Amino acid sequence: MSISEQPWSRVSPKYAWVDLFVNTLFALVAAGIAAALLLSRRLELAPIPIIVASAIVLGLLVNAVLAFRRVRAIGYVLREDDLLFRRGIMFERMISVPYGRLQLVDVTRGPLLRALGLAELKFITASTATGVKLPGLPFAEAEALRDRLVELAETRRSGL
Amino acid sequence: MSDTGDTGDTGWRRLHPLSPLLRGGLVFIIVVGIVVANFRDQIIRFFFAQSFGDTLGSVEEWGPGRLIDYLVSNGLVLVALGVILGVLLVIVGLAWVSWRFLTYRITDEAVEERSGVLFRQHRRAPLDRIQNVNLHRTLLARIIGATAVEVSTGGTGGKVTLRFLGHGDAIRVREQILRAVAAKREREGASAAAPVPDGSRPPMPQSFLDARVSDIADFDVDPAAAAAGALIRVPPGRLIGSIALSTEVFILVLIVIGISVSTIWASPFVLFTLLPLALAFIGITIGQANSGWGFTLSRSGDGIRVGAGLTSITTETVPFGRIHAIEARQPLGWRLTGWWKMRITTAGHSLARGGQNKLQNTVLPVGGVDDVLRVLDAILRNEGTPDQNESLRDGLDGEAAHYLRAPRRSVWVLGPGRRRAGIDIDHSDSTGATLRIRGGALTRRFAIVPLGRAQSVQLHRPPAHRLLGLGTIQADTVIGPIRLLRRGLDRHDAEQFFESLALAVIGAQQNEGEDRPCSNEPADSE
Repeated sequence: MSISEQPWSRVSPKYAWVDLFVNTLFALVAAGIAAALLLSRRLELAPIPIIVASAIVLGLLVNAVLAFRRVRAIGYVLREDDLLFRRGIMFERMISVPYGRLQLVDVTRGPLLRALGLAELKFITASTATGVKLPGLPFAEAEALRDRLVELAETRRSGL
Repeated sequence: MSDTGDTGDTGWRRLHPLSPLLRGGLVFIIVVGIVVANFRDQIIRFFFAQSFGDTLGSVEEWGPGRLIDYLVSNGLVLVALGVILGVLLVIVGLAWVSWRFLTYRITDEAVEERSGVLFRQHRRAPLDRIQNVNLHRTLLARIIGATAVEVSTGGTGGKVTLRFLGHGDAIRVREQILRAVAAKREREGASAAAPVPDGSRPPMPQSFLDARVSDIADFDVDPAAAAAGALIRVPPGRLIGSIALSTEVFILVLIVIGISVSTIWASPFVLFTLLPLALAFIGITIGQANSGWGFTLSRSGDGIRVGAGLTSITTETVPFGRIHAIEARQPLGWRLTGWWKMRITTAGHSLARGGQNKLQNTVLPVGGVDDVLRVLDAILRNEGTPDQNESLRDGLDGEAAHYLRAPRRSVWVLGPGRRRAGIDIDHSDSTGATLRIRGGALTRRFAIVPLGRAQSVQLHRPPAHRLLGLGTIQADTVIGPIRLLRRGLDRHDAEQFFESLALAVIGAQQNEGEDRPCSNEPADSE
């Protein structure tokens, strides 16, 4: 089966709101700092800094609004022997992690995620570059997935 | 135990009696140097007062010199010498006490070290955690005939360092440790010999232990055999030649020219900015010569042993199972002579010491294509058949016939490196499968990953790649100096390659039991 035809599982669409909130907050903070910096120059406003600052803020806002697309782009498949994971719209990335290589499966819940009943699943291998994170899974699903993956990791090892 | 340094305590032994001196060696030399520099005049005058008379004169108003004058004129020289002697005795006494309290032993279970008088410290390296045993000899230690034994374990900073032992003792101790490790493996191996059907036996410590022990087993080869089995030697002439042709020296020459030109025609102040740079480059080149001097690589039972050094000699043993990637590089200047240098990514090492291990992961400072192939054969445990060598040579320096190449349009992201770019999976259906990546524009590179060691594989498409319909393949290993990335492949090719690579990785890891890498034990946490 080719990659594009994989039956991708998605994370909860609710997570997009978290993503949107965090990124919007970031954009607003950046806008606030830019405004403060510009105004502190006592209204001798040169055009170039204003353009640059508003471009940055605009970019951040667009980035925030893309939250829904970004969250839809996150997907994972539990294949027979490996976990296939994808993410990113601008920087598309697809990662295959053999189950036998999973060292740790972390479930973390920040305050925002907890408010929505979500959890983040993080997979750790001996390589720091692997970096597979599944944000925004419903809590029960995250725990079930973790148990399943740990079990898969175990069987792949003892089957050696 | 017939080794020297027995204490009354069972099994506990002491280090070389001169080890406090060696450990404080540099400080001692510096102090002596300062004393000599400051009191030179007084010492000369004291001994040669008659012949030189007053010609030296007295310049100091007050100070150490004046103090000595005072002591001499009041006949207190003996008292002063007595005080100095007393201080020395106290220092020697303290050193002796710390030496008395620094003991080590090798048991059936662990290598242990005890130290400290007031604050007792007890370090223990369990045998099944020992990754390798290195010998290290600084210049001063070599003069005295002493050697440091470094027992490294998996954890960060988790190692037992025995500084210093007599050289013969050090070699014996290393063999003893390795034999203890092998013996432990045999004991454990006996219990593991009866395989239990899947699931019922605890898999984690088993594979872990196997990995750990097979790393170092069969290490107690005698020096003569090791010398006979020496695979690669780097003659000094070639090393010097390689440094002369290196990029660093090229830049150094440019800097020197720059300095000369600017001092003649322009302001001499430029000198002050370029000089530190030049000094830094000189330092680097001298460091290269020093660390690569007398390089040897030999293949021992379960790993490779590399040793090198001009002033200080380091011998490191790298078990095969811990080599996660290999890379050969050819800087621009070396194309003239066809030389390559090679380095490896190893587990534990680079992470724990930030890449600062003594040999900097080098497995060949400089060598021709034949040397490269021999090192690759040793590390990949090939038999060196013409077939295998031909395929390696092809990737390293040849046409790369079977390789997946970068399409013409990828020149926009790869530049002149497009022509060399290629990626291939060798023996994709076996446990010995390797991923081979070649590339480089000025510096040519050829990297190999045993797929049994790969942690994950990735396919990216950053914006520029998307625009051109390209894709990037990446293999992830433990942290190390080697980047395993092939950019600028055709998108569909890359997708297909990604699929077959993922399959090959799984295939390679399915049946390879014994020599899995160390960091493989699972755990779950919340």
